[in-house]
Amino acid sequence: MRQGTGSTCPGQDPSGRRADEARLSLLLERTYAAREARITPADDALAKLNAALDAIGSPSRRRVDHRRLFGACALAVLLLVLLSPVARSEFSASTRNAARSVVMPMNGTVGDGVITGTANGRAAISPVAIAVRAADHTSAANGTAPMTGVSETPLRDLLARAGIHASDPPGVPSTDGHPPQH
Amino acid sequence: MTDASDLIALYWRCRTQDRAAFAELFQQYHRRVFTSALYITHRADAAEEIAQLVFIELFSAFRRFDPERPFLPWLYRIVHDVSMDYLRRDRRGAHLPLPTTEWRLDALLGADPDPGPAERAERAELQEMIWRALERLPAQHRVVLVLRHYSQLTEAEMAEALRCRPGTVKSRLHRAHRALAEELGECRPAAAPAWVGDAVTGRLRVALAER
Repeated sequence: MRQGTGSTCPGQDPSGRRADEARLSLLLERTYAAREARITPADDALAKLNAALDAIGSPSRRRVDHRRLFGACALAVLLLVLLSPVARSEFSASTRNAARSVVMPMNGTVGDGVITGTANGRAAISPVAIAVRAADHTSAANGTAPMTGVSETPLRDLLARAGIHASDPPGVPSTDGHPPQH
Repeated sequence: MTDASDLIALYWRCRTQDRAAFAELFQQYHRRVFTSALYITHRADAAEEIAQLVFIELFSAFRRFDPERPFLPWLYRIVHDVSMDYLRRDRRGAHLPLPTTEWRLDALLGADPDPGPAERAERAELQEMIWRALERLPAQHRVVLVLRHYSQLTEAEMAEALRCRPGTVKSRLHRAHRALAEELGECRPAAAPAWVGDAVTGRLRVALAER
């Protein structure tokens, strides 16, 4: 009795199918009834159930349940706070701010300048590096050794290399046998 | 037999978490719940556990139950949910068959009070074949067959138990019948009597018609 598969009863009319289904239903009912007649559930099922219900209703169990409930609520609130759109935007904003405040020096250099990366991804040459470059030009003109390496030297050193000493009066560059640079 | 008004009174008492009333309810429905779980899972150990879980769930869920509404669809909804959940969690022995010898004996004690020996043997074979075919079906098919042919729920009640529309119940039932018929066709031809072996070619229909 295969219905609808086309493999056994291809030409079977709908009324025949209905009749088959009715017979199958009858067979199932008889099979279920015959098996049920011999089924004997466990005798201690009610006692087990009562024990289980007692365990569920006991105060210690309820306390544990309350603790669990509290823990679950706390976890849910925490997740809600962390994952809510507002929290996410605030988190990303604070991350951006932190990244801005920590200017990451990059390894690459351009000429003699120090390139620093900023949070917005642009490279910038720091003012000190510009001063270093200026000092190097000055050193070359003076015949002194140019600065090597890239570092943010204090201004006083730079000025010393440029031949300007702190002891010189303002507006009078050191001569040291060299003409002043214009 | 308890009549309807007594049952409704019992449900009202169960709603108040009255343990004595609940014990009464247990006596009334435990066998039915256990058997349904057994027919759905085809495992005696699972059926026992499911029956326990169903009544535990029932006890706490009774607060939400309206005693004026039909009880059986609601009960079977819980049976269905707990059974399917159990089968999902515990796949180890999902197809562990029950011992067949006892069932064969059951089958011999069929509805006919005095069948002849040949007829008894045939009936036993047939019921055994159906049982094995049921065992091979997916649990979703077994559930609808149990609700309809064992629990005798109407399509509307089944719809309530399965949380779907009556039309869906009808199609699920039809699919389950078809799947069972296909399984019956493939069940065996080796160990079966000749008429069962010829089931595939249509003689089963004749045999069934004679029953």
